[in-house]
Amino acid sequence: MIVRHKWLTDEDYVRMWALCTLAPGINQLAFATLIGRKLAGWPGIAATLGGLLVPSGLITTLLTVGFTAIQGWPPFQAVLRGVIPATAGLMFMVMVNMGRPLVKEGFREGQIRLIMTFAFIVLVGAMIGLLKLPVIAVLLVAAALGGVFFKAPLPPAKEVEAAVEPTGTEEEK
Amino acid sequence: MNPLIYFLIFLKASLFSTGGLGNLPSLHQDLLANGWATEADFGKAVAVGQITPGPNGLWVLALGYITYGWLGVLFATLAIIIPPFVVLLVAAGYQKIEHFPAVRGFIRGLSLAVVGSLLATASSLISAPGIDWKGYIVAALTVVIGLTNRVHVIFILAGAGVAGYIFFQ
Repeated sequence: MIVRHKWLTDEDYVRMWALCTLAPGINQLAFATLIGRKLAGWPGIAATLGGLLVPSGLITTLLTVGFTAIQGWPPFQAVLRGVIPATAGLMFMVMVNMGRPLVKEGFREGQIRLIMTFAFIVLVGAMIGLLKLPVIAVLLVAAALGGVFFKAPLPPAKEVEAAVEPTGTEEEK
Repeated sequence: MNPLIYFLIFLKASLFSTGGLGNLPSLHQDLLANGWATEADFGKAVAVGQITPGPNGLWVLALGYITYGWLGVLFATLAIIIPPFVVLLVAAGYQKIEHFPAVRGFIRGLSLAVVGSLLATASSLISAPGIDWKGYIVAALTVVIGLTNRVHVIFILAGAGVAGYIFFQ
């Protein structure tokens, strides 16, 4: 879109995408909404959202229909018994991919932030997984606590490391 | 099944989450609590969502169909279309608030919590009845191979399907 039609500038693209990662729901749909509005207002939004959703949504639904129709067939059940644990694996993978930049950020900011980062992840996991607390409530509380505890941008890692652990560690590199 | 509550469960999950699978933990908790879905239903829906083109967040359409037929697809579609419009509000207001440190902390806390909630959901899915040590091996291999970023998800799932066919046939 940027290169071929010159409908957007690189700057627009980056700024819009950053906003979309903050908006709820599927980021690509929010992105389509912003682009549609910029190009042609509400009709533009209908066109971009429709273009993104209709073909792939139809394929997804039809595949599910086919899938549901044959799921009682014993060989397919055997296949599913392999696929379902794999989707759990995929979820762990998504989790690691989402968590990696956050852990790196904590790592850069020193031990305290790194420990807080892991504490947030593990505590939220335990509250939802073990205590069965409502997911949305836990997310909102965690966000509010994040607003408090991750608020002050810490000084660059070196100073923090020096303050926390005078001997320093390899983390400084 | 109460259609209104069903729809609100989907809408709530999408409205308070970000990314394609961010809505999974909330849907997982609410639908299981109501007895409207099983652990395996989530596995199937996520698998379909991963192998089809387009945003992988469309996995909820598969979940809608599996749990509530065509009506489920309709509700799931509405539930994922509405939240992205919030971006229009975000676009209008964010420039005014982005410089407050608390806003960045808020988003960071939320992102960490989403990671934690996925941890809980994935753990629940892997400990579902019917998954034995062979399943654990498949899941572990999926994580290891997936994290190398060298093999497309479709091929990983296909491999898992072949493994299932060989192990469980």
